[in-house]
Amino acid sequence: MAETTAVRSERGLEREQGFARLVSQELAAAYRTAAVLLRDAGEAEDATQDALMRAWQQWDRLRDDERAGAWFGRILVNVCRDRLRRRRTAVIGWLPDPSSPDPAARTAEREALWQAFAGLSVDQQIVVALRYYLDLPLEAIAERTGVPPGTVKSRLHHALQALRAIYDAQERTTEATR
Amino acid sequence: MSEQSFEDALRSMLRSAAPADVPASLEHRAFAIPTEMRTTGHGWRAGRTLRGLAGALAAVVVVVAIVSAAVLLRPVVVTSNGTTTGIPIGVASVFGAFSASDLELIIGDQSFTGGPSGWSHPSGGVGLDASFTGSSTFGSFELHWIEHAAPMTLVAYVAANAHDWWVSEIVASEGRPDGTGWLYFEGPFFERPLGSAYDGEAVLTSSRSTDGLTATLRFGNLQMTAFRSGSASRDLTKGTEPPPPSGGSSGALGTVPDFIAVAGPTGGVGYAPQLLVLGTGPTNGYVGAPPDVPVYAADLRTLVGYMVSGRGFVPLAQAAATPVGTSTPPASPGQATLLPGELVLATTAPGSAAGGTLLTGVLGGEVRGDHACLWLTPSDAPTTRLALVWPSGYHAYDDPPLQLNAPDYRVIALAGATLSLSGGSPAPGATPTLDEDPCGLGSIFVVSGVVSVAGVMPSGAVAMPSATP
Repeated sequence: MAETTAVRSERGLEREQGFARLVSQELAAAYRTAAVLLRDAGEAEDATQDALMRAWQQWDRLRDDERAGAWFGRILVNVCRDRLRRRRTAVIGWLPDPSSPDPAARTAEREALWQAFAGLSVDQQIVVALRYYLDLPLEAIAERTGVPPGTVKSRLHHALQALRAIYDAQERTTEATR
Repeated sequence: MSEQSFEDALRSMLRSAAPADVPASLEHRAFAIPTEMRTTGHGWRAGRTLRGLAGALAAVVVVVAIVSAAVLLRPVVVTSNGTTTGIPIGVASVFGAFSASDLELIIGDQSFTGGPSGWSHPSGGVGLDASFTGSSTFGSFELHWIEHAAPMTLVAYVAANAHDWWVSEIVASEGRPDGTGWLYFEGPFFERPLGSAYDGEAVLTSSRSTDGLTATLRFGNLQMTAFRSGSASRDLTKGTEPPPPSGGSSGALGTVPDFIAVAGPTGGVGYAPQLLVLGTGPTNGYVGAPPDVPVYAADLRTLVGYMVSGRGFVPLAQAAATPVGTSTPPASPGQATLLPGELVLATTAPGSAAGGTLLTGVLGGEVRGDHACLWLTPSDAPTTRLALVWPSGYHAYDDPPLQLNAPDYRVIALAGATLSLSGGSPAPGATPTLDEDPCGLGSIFVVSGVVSVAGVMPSGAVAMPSATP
């Protein structure tokens, strides 16, 4: 009986150490990714904490500690997807963090892109963000979204088409006014 | 345009949304998850779900461009022997952020801390509800919990201009088992430039209460900021509420000033926050009557009094000296002496029945013998006519049209004006007397004060009696 308790304690300690490693390695990227997906710093905090809580609760399902980052990435994407789908009010405006690495003035192109991005389906927004913010390859995006790479490719294609159309139209307008 | 420049633009756009730094509070909470989940279990999660729902409901009620009302709470921290060591509270939304190592509200010999016996969720968890929402210039941080078997509410009102934000007032429950009664902590507090947070301990003493109690409110290691979406970038506006566009519900909130002019019996007395006057604020979770509506001077910061249910406007000095719930002696009944042209008006004694409702609609009226029938058609119920019973001392004249006068005979409004009135209706089933409802409309609204008047105002705005009684 005492031995069983000791084993459990050791496993508990390992679990806490593993979780602390995950937080150390993934927290910043997770929070920023959530902010990009949700376009709301406050909600990104909520989502990140939600995802970490789920990760802690499901820790026993993690078979390979080396894969903890990707495993957690999938949890985070699911949490953000749920939040985006629950939203009844679209994000009306997003003011980029002035301390972010790219505080350039919001150009008309960027405004137009944001509007177009917000108009994409939730799943399309996710694949675009994972591809162009995290620079993940298709396979990694497929792993995080839980769909086949072919589906990711298709979603990305249609999303980029829509974004490109808006971007080009805005470019033409900008050129014409010069 | 090349594919590369398009992709660069896309990357740049997405990166612009990524905050540079991770909030320290998130980092702290993240590492604490194993400890907190172990001590509070699934109850905490259930509590968070409820809080999320509360936030979402609040966002719907506010009817302004609130992006979301996502709410984040820290759990009750319980020591190994099961006693509560304090209630760390953290609330973060797109509008504002609040965190404190603990709170303590001391009322007499009772101390309220947000627990510890706490509020039992159906799931068995422990926690409190919280929200932090608002518009571009006004908002509120709210906590709801149950302690010592009393439903408790704490609300901090926040305001901002183009440069600064501040807490204009804090109200809290008195700790009565029926949940009624309010403590008022008169601000402004915690004023800071927009974008920066208040950081420090806070110990506040109440300035008045419904039942004459005195309380102390303490926040440990308080960190608070509001309007963090950067929406407050203009000065506060004040004025009268414009009439609705076509007799329907109130006009777009964008056309209504942030603070609405409030009239007392002797004229304009100050300005009350739009969200409280129009009832579009985020709070709906009160037990009993809502808190009195604060009225500010022209600087929109200096508190000058309150719109008190059943009493109308009460100046600050008087409000502080007298417990709000203490009824004042009834005035002499009736209007023994009528001036030429004056009509008998349904009035009631100060302090008599009236709830905390704010009602907006169009004033209607007709002369019935020597009585003035004045009614209000609510903006949200255009087929309803509520007979109005006014505070003692009000007068009515048939000039024509019918006009309503303050006790000093200043004209308050003419028939056809849009009024916002505070007051309340008697309990359902009560039959109005003929004096209260001379036109037999069947339903009455007992007015405690005229909050605002818009439209159909006389040019002179003062009507003096033509004879002295």
